[in-house]
Amino acid sequence: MNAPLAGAFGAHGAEWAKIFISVGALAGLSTSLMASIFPLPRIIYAIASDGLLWPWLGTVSKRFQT
Amino acid sequence: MALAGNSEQTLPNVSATATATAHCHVPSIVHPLYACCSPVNATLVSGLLAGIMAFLLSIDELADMMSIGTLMSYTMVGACVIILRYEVPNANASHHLLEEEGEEGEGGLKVGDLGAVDAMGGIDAATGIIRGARGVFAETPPALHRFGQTSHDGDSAARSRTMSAGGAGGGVGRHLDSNYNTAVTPVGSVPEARGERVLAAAGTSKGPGKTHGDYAALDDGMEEEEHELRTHSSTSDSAAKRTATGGSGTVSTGSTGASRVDSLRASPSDGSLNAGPTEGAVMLATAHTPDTVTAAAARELASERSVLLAGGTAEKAVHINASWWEAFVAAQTFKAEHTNRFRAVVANVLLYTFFTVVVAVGINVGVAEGSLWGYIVVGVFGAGAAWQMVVMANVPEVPQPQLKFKCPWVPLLPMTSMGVNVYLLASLSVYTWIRFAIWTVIGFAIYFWYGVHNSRASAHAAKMEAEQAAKA
Repeated sequence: MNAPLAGAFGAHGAEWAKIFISVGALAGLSTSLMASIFPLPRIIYAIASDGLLWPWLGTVSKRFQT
Repeated sequence: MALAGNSEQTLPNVSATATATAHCHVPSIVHPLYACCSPVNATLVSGLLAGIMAFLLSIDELADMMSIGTLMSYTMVGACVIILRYEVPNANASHHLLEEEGEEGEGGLKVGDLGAVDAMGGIDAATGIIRGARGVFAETPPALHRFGQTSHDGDSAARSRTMSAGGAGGGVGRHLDSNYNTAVTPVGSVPEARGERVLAAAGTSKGPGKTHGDYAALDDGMEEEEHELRTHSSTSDSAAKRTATGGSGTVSTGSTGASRVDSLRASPSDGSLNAGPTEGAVMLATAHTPDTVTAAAARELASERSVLLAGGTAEKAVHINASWWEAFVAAQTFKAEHTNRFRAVVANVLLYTFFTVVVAVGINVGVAEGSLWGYIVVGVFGAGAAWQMVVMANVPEVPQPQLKFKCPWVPLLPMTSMGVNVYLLASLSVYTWIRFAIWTVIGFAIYFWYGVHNSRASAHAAKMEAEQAAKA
């Protein structure tokens, strides 16, 4: 059983609750993954700015600032 | 993707440390016009790595990588919470004090990056200060009252605050640096130099002869120390300076006589100490110390006082320079009060971690196979780990008056957390550990072959050292 809560609702015939919870779980997972991925470049940038990684990891585009 | 998550779990510690020591060298991460700015190469590299990992590994393996990173970092957080709680407060406290002081228009100079100093030397020396100052505070509250009441020239009031500020930790020492630039030691300097500087704070707080009368009000039980104080308070400022810098004789910090110059190994070569302005700095600094902080320090000290008075005797000498082994043994025999508590705690945390690792592996391997040896090992080392919790719970607290919030149940809660984390770590698969080991080796390789030589913190330390050399 990979999703115990959704499974429990499903076992009791509450299909709508199962779907509701599954959608919520997917949203939460993707949020959490995005929140993990998004700061990573900035962390690398900060480390590079502190001199602990190579400077080229800390460069920012001059033209677009992106 | 999970790599990203894993890195996210482990890397912030590095970067947080780095930025903390580098003291926010990157103020303009956000572009003023576009209010956005993302590092291109870092984005490409992290995205590429995450993509490759997601392509090559299954979701379960990646999830395990996240787990191992999370558990590992939280185990370390637990250990750090314990260790930092027994460290003598230094950099943060003085930063805080200085900021508030600056608002009052006093002492425009800031401590700067002294937070990057390796704290060990400061701990050794400053522990003595704390103990010493607390001795005065605990044993002679009437004298302190007199400090406040007589205040014929305001000096005594400042002096009594010096006591409590001394109890608060190395803050006084930092004030010396910031206000008068006396006894500035280079970042990352040797412990001796740090000890010397803190010693100057303690020594000068009783340097001039006019404090003699105040100190004569010490309790009867403190005769010995009083004698020492008498000796020192009869010295002139310049004499105090010589004593502090020369590293000769027995300057006692506060009243315990615990921390002696020779035990601190003050190096005579550092001539930058100057007792005269130093004392002024102490008084300036402490006179403008926010009352909230000193009040907190006083509360801490008062709570310790009951313990001391219950003991019935004046404090014994504290062996600040106790070796790791001595400190460890002292903690194991419930005598940590009279030793270097920081070392005792670090040694105990390491031993506890070792025990929990053995227990966790024993449960996951031996007990899982149902072997008798598994049960024996788990029983013995589990008892050892439990014993370490008892030992740790009996190490007296080091006052941390600068903390606004303190995690409750500190030795026990983080230790429990560490134990559970270690158990969960041990239940991860061997392959996860191999992957983790590979990534760790890569990380260490980058750090030791590149980062450690090129970090801003080390460059800054080198600069400070050069400046110090030029000054001397």
